[in-house]
Amino acid sequence: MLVSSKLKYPRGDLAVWAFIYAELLVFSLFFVGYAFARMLHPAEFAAGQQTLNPVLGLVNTVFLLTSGWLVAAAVLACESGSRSLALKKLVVATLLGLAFLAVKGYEIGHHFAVGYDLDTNTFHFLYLFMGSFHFMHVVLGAGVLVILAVKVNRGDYSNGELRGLESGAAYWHMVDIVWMILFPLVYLMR
Amino acid sequence: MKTGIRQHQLIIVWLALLLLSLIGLGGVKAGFHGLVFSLALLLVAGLKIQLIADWFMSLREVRMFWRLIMLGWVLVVTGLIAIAFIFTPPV
Repeated sequence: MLVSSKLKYPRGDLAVWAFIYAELLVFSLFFVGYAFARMLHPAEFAAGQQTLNPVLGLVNTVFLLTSGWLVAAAVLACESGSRSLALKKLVVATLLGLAFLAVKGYEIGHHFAVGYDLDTNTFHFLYLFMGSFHFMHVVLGAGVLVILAVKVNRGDYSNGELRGLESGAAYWHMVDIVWMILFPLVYLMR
Repeated sequence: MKTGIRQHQLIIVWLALLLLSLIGLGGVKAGFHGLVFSLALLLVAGLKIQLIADWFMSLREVRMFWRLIMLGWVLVVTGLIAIAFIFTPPV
């Protein structure tokens, strides 16, 4: 009889995975809503996209992807018993998350400063709403990374039970995944 | 699999993700725009998400059902976005 070597469930807590898929569903409604709103107001969206700086979007992409890689590497390091290495990776990953927030915060602040707000038009509403919604998820994710770093430092995962660490990591990767669509959709696809 | 090899695999995936991201902005800076370019960017986004899901979230180690949920989500979302872009009148 053939026995599958695949795991039955994803790494981490199943409830967190259900939460992750629910979050992805919510974000997908915004993405699809954006695309269809653009279909109705193409000129407005084209003009709105001209007000964005895609280089800042790319910088933030690099921050999130690097942070995501470090978190995945930290889980592996913890698994192999390298606690100090895992801690270092988590600390840098958190700092990159904070760097993302700094850039995005600047971007949103600048957007308001030059006179655009949620009432300007549909494009600016969706840009600010989706950006701020994702921003809040990054804030939560960065908080989760801090908690994970504290727990790794305390040696909470030394017994090989990594479910908490894997759950937090999976949440952080979800934040990453959302940005992989949000960035090209709003900044690049014209 | 040895941890060292897995760490190296993660580095390769990370570099591939960075490269794919640079290509997108590079295209915009080179003056690419329009429907075909937008659909190509959607395809790249889908690929990047699969890389993150399979390697960073370790979904490649899990039964197909869990991977199909992610793949299904990517296909539905990018598919609907593509439909909206295809039917958007040119400015």
